[in-house]
Amino acid sequence: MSTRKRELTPPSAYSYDQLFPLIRCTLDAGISVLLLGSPGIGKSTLAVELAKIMHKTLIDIRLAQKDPAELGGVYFPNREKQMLELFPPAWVKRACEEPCLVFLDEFNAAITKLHQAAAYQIVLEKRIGEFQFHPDTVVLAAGNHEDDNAIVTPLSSALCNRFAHFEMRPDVATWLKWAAGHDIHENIMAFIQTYGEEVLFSASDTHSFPTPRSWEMASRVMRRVDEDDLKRGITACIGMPMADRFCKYLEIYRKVKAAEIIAGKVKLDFCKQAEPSFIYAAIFAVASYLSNATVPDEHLDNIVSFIASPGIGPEYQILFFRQLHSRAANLFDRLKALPEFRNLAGKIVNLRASLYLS
Amino acid sequence: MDANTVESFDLKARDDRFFRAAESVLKTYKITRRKTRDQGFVIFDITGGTQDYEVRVHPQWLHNPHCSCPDAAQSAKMNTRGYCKHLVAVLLSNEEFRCQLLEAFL
Repeated sequence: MSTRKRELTPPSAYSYDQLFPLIRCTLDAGISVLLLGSPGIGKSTLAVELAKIMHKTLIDIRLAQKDPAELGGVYFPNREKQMLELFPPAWVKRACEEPCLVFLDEFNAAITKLHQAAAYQIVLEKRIGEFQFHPDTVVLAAGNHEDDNAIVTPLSSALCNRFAHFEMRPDVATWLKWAAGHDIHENIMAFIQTYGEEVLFSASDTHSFPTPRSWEMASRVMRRVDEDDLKRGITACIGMPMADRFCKYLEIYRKVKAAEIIAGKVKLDFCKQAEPSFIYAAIFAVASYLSNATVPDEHLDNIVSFIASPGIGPEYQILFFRQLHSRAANLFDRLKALPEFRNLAGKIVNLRASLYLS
Repeated sequence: MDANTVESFDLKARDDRFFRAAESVLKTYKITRRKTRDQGFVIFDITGGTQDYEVRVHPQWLHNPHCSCPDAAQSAKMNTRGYCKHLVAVLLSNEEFRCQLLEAFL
């Protein structure tokens, strides 16, 4: 089956971390936002996190799954008053009573003119009928690109013009930071760190293909599936070509004996085994072991010796400490008492400072 | 461009923001190290701005460094683990404590 890749990083596309403050400011300014991006790269996660940080209740509406009446409400005759009255959907009441972030997901996914008419009121006037939203309620819409094999309906120019438009791109550093705090399997993090964006996101005509979302699914499968079924389970999430590549990487990863390294019984020679794939595998394998292990005080300096080994540069060291900080915070704090650790930390900071000065 | 290179650029941009902010503190404010410690902490007074602040650093890094400015308690706490520009400036300008900046770069 042919595989079609789209341009991953159009010049106007931003990473999650870049978009977060931009969208927050735009929403704070009372402007509705339309966020476009490929499926599975974190648009919904961004909405959830924005709602949290802006202290607003999230109202998540999948537009394509809603009947227009669920958006705009329905009119019922009031015979006493001799007029029609609007019965709004339940979410509207919330959006009127308290500050909410109304997230209109799948905004351009096969919605009808009726959907668009309701969306127009929500986006432009922040009301449904006479039900005016709370002044601090904001609207964020998200949709897919037309070239993402997703079903997309062009929006009217009048509706488009009511939004500030942003485009999201998948971003390895951001995803790894997120992954470290969300129990993503260390083998997957190591693989993505090693090979970057080309393995994190690769849209194709096949049903399964790698995206940040499908890697998260693969991680959950990995934690539960038997070894014999591992490749089949992973393939179901990210597709055969990527699962093949990932399983070959796992063979390298499993050569790293983290427990023996921390016990001081094994030392890896990164000058001889200098391939980035091996160094990343070693870093993630050791960090992962440490996130669950009970390390006695007398072995703490083996952690520092490992990460300060000749052949491991500061970028690798920062990556290792970032993993440790997210996944084994207590252990990270214990390391601070070691002069060798403070010495290494000072060297890393000095290098950063010298990069700035250069 | 591999993942490592991409990340280096992103990190450098972020770190540069730290350093720029710290540079502005070093130019604009006066940082004075107190002669006596308070409960084991070395205290630095930041003066010369609209408000005076206090930065506390534990020499053995048994506690994380702390600044009394509102930014350290609010936006810096959320975005940069509490490392405000005063804290970065103090740690950078004292080599013995520079290691304690590591967490800001993670």
